[in-house]
Amino acid sequence: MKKEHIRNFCIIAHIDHGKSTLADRFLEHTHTIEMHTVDQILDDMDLERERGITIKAHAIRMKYNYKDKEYTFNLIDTPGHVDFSYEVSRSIAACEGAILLVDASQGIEAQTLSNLYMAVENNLEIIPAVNKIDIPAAEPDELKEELAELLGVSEDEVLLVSAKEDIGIDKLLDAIVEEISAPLSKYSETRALIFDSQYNQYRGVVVYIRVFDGALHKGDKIKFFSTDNIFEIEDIGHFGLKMEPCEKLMAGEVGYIIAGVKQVREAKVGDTITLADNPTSHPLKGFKHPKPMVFSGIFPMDGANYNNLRDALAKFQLNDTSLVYEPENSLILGFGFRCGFLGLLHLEIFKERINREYGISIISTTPSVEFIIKKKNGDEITIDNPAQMPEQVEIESIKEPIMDCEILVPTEYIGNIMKLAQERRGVQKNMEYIDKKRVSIHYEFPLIEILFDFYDKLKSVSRGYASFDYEYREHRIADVQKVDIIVNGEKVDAMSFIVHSDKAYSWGKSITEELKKVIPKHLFKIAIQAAVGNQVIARSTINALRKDVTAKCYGGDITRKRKLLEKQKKGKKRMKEVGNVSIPQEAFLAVLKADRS
Amino acid sequence: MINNISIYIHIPFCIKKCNYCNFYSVPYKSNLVNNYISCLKKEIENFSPSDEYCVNTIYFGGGTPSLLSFHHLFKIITAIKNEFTIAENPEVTLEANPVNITKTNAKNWKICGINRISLGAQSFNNSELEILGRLHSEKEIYSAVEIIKEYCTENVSMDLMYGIPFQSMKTWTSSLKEAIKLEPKHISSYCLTLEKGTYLSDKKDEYSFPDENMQSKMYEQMITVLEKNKFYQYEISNFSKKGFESKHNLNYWKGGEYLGFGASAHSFYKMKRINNFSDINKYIEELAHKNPPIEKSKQISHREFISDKIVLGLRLNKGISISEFRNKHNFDIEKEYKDVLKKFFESGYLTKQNDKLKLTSKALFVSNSILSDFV
Ligand SMILES: Nc1nc2c(ncn2[C@@H]2O[C@H](COP(=O)(O)OP(=O)(O)O)[C@@H](O)[C@H]2O)c(=O)[nH]1
Ligand code: SF4
Ligand SMILES: [Mg+2]
Repeated sequence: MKKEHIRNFCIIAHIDHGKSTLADRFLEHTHTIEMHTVDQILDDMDLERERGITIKAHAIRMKYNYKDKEYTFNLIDTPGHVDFSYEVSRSIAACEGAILLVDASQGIEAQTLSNLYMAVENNLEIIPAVNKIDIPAAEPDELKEELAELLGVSEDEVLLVSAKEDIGIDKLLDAIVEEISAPLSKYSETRALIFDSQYNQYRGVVVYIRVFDGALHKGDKIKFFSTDNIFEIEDIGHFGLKMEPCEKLMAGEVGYIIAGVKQVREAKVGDTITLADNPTSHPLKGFKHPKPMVFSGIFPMDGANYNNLRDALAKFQLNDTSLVYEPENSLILGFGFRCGFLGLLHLEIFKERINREYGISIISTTPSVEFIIKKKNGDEITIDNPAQMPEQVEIESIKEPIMDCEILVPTEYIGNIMKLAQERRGVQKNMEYIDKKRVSIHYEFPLIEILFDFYDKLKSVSRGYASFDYEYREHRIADVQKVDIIVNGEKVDAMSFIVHSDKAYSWGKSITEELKKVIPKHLFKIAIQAAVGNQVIARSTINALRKDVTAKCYGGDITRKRKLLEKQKKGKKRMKEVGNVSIPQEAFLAVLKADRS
Repeated sequence: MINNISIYIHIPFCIKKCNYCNFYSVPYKSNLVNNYISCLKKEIENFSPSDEYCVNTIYFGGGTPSLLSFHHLFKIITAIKNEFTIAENPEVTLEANPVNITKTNAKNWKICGINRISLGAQSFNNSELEILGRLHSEKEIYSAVEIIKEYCTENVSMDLMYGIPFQSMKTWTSSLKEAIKLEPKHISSYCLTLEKGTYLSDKKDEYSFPDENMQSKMYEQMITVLEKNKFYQYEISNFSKKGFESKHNLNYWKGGEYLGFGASAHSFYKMKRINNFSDINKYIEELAHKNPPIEKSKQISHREFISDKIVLGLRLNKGISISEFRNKHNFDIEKEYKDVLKKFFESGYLTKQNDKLKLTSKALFVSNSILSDFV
């Protein structure tokens, strides 16, 4: 395979703008699959049908004939969430070009832009394409103009397609050959980029790679640059509709290797693979150790599920590079695990999957970030759990994590963004006009300020147009303190949080109010307090239950009454006892959702 | 051995739906009623009690049983008499709507053997009655009671309701006092609950309801006023003169057996909880096909029986007898519910007096919070 005949590219598109549909058309036009079988093939894979064939495959190889020559296309998929922007950046780094696909009836969405900028930063060739031109209400001309302006190209270079109606697809395929450059290699030593890795029950970890220089063969001893770990390639191949084994992957090619790797964390996305006996001294740029930024205690709702949860975490970790955990013990919640996540979304996905795939109902404690505490005795400790906070008198200083943030937003919302940033202790670094309508504002934010409801707030003050990206910068001294939540005199350790002193009151207030809404009335009055040390800073009261009675059992319908009481009893079972107060699972969530302005 | 049993007959017809009511009922249409009564008769006749059962109480509930004509009522009573052994002095209750009380009806009921009337008075305040969507006025209650007492029976029970929109402590107290003046033997009270799909719940924003706090005060007020007038509370919502407790309802609360006939009727018989189809047409259809009109029948475990019996028994002011559970049912309440009892003894929601376990007075209006720990 000659490098000149390879094209590696991805599709940048907002959700529902037609990425999957377009990928399906590509597969047909390149005869990777026959037209009439598309539906059936996709039907066999429900999840993929829902999410698009390229999601699960993460990469697919196609053959395309252009001017009597055969080209190899590798379409590489990109995940689409903020917490995973690093993973997106690695997929993009594996390509030489990108199709920017925009729904004619929707226009460019903010999320698309941040991926586009990532692609531009990585020197990708961009092919702009307007999709869904078959929709009568679509306004492709206006969008064409906008895209041309955005990319600094002429309007003619913006392609018009309908993925669904199969319009303009061949032209787009031709453009891939014409516009996107063939892979180039710089070095003679072998270098391959890991852009994804997935755990397979039968085969261990399948490592998705893009070879930049040299070659990899079956049987080669390889080294992972970041860990120095050495493995032997047991199996190597391309991605067709299935994995297609071959003997070697050359510079420019995309494929997979299987090399006895047991956990995805051993094959880190972004890492460089090189040959053990002739290693490169130039790793591919941009690798980062996935660093958990957000920590939360994860406890089984039912203590009897502790072992199941432990097993689930171990399984989960096989396929999740960034999850870290260790045992944790809570007075209120019992035995569980302290887990670290990339961000709140990562945490949400984790909780959802533990619940759905492993059937374990869990409670998560108020998420925290990592603080570095310098004690008066000179010791320095790092804590990710408010429970580990030393006594106030022992503390010399506390450092909190600061993030570099990039907010892309249409100019008319700049004022709103600035106001929001100010509320969140943001420090504006600079502001750049991307084009006439959009600016990129660079801020530094303390991570705790953007952890909770920031993303939603950002979306709401910009009518959904702002997009947002962040990256760890440093730990910086801050005036923060620990706030405890106390329910009828008992401290709920799982709800403690660390916050800037100026905000202790307002956070305490909104959390005590939120708890008032979700903790059911009891036979007695319940006092909910937020306290710093011994000082109560906010409180709310839940009045005693005054009425809870079934007036009558009509005509002997005892079953109905029984059901009612059973429901009530079940409800009680789903709660955690704090002293004599039963706190429902939702209360722990409510703490998360409380307003943090 | 002779087993006592109660019989409940359901009459699912009403002239007009009340604004708070979500029971299954259909408008009164003579064809349908004829049909229904023949089906009821069939259902009763098809039932053959396998042991020696003796019927202690019969209860006509609804719906509005007072809509039935003499002929219909007689047919059913006769069917029961033919099929069952009836106790010497059975309690035979008919639920009656004040608008249906006429001399003729009252006399006929007496002939049929009705010896207790449960009158749906609800309130003595006309605007409250209107809000409830009741068809009668305050005046009609007075004349109804007079007629019943003269032509049918002295044993009158009255239903009263609190928690009605715009009701005040004053109007509630005066309803209680008017009721007392009429010298019924028994008073049942219900706190209005908003049931989904009812007129009041749809329009709830247009009305101002007494809040929980007020409702609980009304409840306490009722207990005070009624006790002062020698109506003794014997159950969470029921009061009577000495010896006039509802035997039929006592049987439910004591975990006794009962047979329900008619659409949506419930039975507890030989450790089975059975309920009939509530849709009247479905009920009729099943009987037309000679099938039992049963929607669901469930054998309950001993444990479930015990917990039902505790939960129901604790509604009674007498409470439950610990030794009875131990001796008759081989169940040690004090052992099995050790933690629950300890919790509620300490917080003062349950007491133990000699052999009896009971709710305390402060527990009554929040009883579900306590009872749910026993299911
Ligand atoms: N009318 C029209 N609908 C399209 C076109 N392309 C995709 N769609 C529809 O848009 C929706 C989202 O498409 P999909 O490929 O799943 O989007 P993805 O989320 O970007 O993968 C689906 O209902 C498609 O049928 C098109 O060209 N025209
Ligand atoms: S009379 Fe009784 S059953 Fe009929 S609608 Fe009124 S409350 Fe309901
Ligand atoms: Mg898709």
